[in-house]
Amino acid sequence: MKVILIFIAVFISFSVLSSESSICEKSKTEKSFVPKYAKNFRIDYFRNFKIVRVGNDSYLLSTGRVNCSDSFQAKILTPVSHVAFMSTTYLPALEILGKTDTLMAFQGKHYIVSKAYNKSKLRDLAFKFNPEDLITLKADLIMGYTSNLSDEKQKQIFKKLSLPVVINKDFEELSPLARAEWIIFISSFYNLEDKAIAVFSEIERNYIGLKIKNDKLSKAKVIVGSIENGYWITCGGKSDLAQLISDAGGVLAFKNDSNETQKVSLEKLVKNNQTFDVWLTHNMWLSAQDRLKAFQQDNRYRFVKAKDVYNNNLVRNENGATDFWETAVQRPDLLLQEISELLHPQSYDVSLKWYRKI
Amino acid sequence: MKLKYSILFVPVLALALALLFIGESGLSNDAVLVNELRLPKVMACLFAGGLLAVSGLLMQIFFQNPLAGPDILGISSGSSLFVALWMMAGAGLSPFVQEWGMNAMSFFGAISVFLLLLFFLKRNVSRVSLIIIGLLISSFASSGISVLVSMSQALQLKNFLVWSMGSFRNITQAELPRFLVFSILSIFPVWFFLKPLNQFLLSENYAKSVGVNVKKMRMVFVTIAAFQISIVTLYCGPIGFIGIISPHLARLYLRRAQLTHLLPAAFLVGSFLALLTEMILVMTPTLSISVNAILGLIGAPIIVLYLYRQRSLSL
Amino acid sequence: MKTILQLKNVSIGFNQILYANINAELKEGAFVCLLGINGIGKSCLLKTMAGLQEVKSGEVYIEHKALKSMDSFDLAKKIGIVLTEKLQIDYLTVFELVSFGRAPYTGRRGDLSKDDKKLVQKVLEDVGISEIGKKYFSELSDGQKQKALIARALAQTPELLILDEPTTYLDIPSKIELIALLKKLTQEKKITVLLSTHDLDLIKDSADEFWLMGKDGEFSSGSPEEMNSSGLIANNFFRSGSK
Repeated sequence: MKVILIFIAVFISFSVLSSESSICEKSKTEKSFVPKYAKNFRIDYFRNFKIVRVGNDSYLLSTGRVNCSDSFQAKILTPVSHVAFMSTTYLPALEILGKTDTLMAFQGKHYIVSKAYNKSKLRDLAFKFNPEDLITLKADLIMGYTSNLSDEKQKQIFKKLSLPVVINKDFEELSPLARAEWIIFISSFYNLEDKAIAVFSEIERNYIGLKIKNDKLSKAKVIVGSIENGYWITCGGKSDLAQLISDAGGVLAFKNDSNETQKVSLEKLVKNNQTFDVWLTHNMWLSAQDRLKAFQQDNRYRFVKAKDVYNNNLVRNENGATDFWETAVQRPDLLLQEISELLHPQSYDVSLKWYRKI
Repeated sequence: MKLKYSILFVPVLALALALLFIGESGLSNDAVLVNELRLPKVMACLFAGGLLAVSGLLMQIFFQNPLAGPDILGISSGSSLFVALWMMAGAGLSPFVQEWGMNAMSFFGAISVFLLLLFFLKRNVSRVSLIIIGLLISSFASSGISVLVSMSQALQLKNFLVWSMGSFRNITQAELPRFLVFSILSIFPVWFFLKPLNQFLLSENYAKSVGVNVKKMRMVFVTIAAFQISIVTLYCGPIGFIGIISPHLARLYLRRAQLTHLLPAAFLVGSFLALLTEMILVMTPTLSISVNAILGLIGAPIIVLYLYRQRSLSL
Repeated sequence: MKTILQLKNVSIGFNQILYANINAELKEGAFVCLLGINGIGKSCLLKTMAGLQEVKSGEVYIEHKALKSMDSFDLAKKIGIVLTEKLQIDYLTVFELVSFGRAPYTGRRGDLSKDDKKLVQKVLEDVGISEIGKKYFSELSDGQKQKALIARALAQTPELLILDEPTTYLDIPSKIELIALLKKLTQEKKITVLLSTHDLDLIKDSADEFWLMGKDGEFSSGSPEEMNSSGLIANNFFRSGSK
């Protein structure tokens, strides 16, 4: 009798234990968050945990320990309070979520423009990092992009060392809204998805509203770039910037289907014998003086005729890094508004946050 | 002999003319396109290519080393290092001081290496040691640049990487006369010293035994070569391969060894290679390849083929 | 008979002195052999005499004029040298190589005059390689290469021809031929010949004089008979107990 009882006890505990592990893989999703624009992440919610997927990697996020089998790239305890980031594009999310004090390390802190961080308290991470260094961080979350972390071998090492390394693929998104939607991804580590979703909805609403308004306006002629090495260097025809220009009611010079930087022959520039309404230089010039000096040095600039010239480096930090790559990426609605102002000054009255007139 | 030279002129002229009338916007004789964009480009190819070839030939004879080239003396690396230093240091300055400073630094870098080499030459260092010094300078400069790059911020880094790609399209029409004057100035001394330079084909000792002032000629060699390279680096950025392969191709074609014969031939071969590279770029506007990448693709197989046919490298 | 070259208390070497206190003379038309064990400084001495290297101390006189005060072209007109350096040049014809020897006489651009060309042709004949004038130097046999280099030195119309181990890498027939050629030059052209060699047997009948850089640092010179009978040769070249 006793033996049977013991047997039953063992059997029950076994099944309880095994059904605990099958909770992870086989349990029912309570709900899912599938982004509207972004293609590279999704969040699936379960009773005690959530699974965040980025491409082929999945991460287990939970507030307490959950017994699961080991197929996750990393298991993260939420909400995180000590994070290390590798890109300035993640920082505005922290500001919006009110979590700037959780940043403890950054790769290249001289790039940070925002004044919300006490740089002297931030640990600097080298560009080529090594796992041992990351261990000493004692961070709950280390977020970066593939060129730093994605080696398959690196991923194995992180997993073995149980390092909470998460790969953020926002840069693979193909539109400004898609990139901005990653604020929700970041918020999931803080359990603040509701806030992030609300903020994104506002961004989306604003963006679409602007787009509709701009559709009705006459198109402005826009050119982007400058001369380097005897070529005209400009953004791709399907890049984020190109889309913003299009959504702002502009027509970009040199159509093409790429989202990579383009090297355009100067002959095309000469042939393109029109006066542009707006020229966004996106280079090192800080003033009209700089521009005029460049013209003096290289008289092929006279083939670029534009009524107004702007550069995206209005706000810079002491090291020359611009805010464009920080806050503008997170707020494409505000950026679209600003570009709309540049292209259609009669229809807008916006004070510039990122562009300066030169 | 005359026939062989004339034959060499043909492809050079043909390509030069072709590039004057064919560009990324197709066939055209639009005066603006031709004068502003294509003419400077063609001139750059002709002279930069030619200068690199001549400096390569001089170095191969002087160092008795068939693999010598403008990079071996460490001069282009010296230029690059100085430019890198300037870019890292000049972060706060306005972009235009930056750019002018960059030009000046490239020149000073080349000249500094040349002065360093002269210093050793005055102390009668052997030819082989000089190559080693050049290689060490190259090494030092590359390492220095790596360190600077790792310490720098992305913006400056990007600027440096842009400059460090060679291009025949940097020269504007306004800069063209200056470039041509410097180029011709740097070739003239070679003709002037042709006789003693020729004697180095055998060896320094044999040259000395027929009365050549070897110490003086060493300095002449280095000065001329350094001047030629610094001009090309200044106006076109660092360009590899042409200096090494043009002399060999010229030799193979003419089947002559003396500088007197090879000089114009090597110049033409260098010009041809540069023009060919530009033609490839014009034909493939959608690919973003650099001049050095194309030269590497053309040049490396040529050297291998040459080695295979000759079974060894000699002057 | 004219004295072509004199060495007065000459010490030779690169950084340190390799050999000291050499006193000797070369007379017109003499055929002299420089002997000494490997590494003693024969090459260095020959180069010093030709002005390719500086003396550490002492003076070299060319026809009673101090070498170091001479114009380099004038010196080149007096002394021609053949070195041990291996030349690796493609596409250089024998005629072109020999023409290099006319450098002390040609003008600024190095162009050969008609007379220069005739002289080069004559030199090729004297040396016995006139049929291969158009061939590339790199295609010649070792023996022919040596002859071409001698021709180059002769094109300088020197009074003294210095050769550093010219026979060492040649086969026996070529060695014999070369020595005979050099002997002929001393007899017919009155050119003084000084060469270093290890092939004692081959030169013992042709040489007028031996110069010996002794193992012990003592330089001596004399006729082959004198040098042999004094036992100096034996001491320097043969291991004790033999010959």
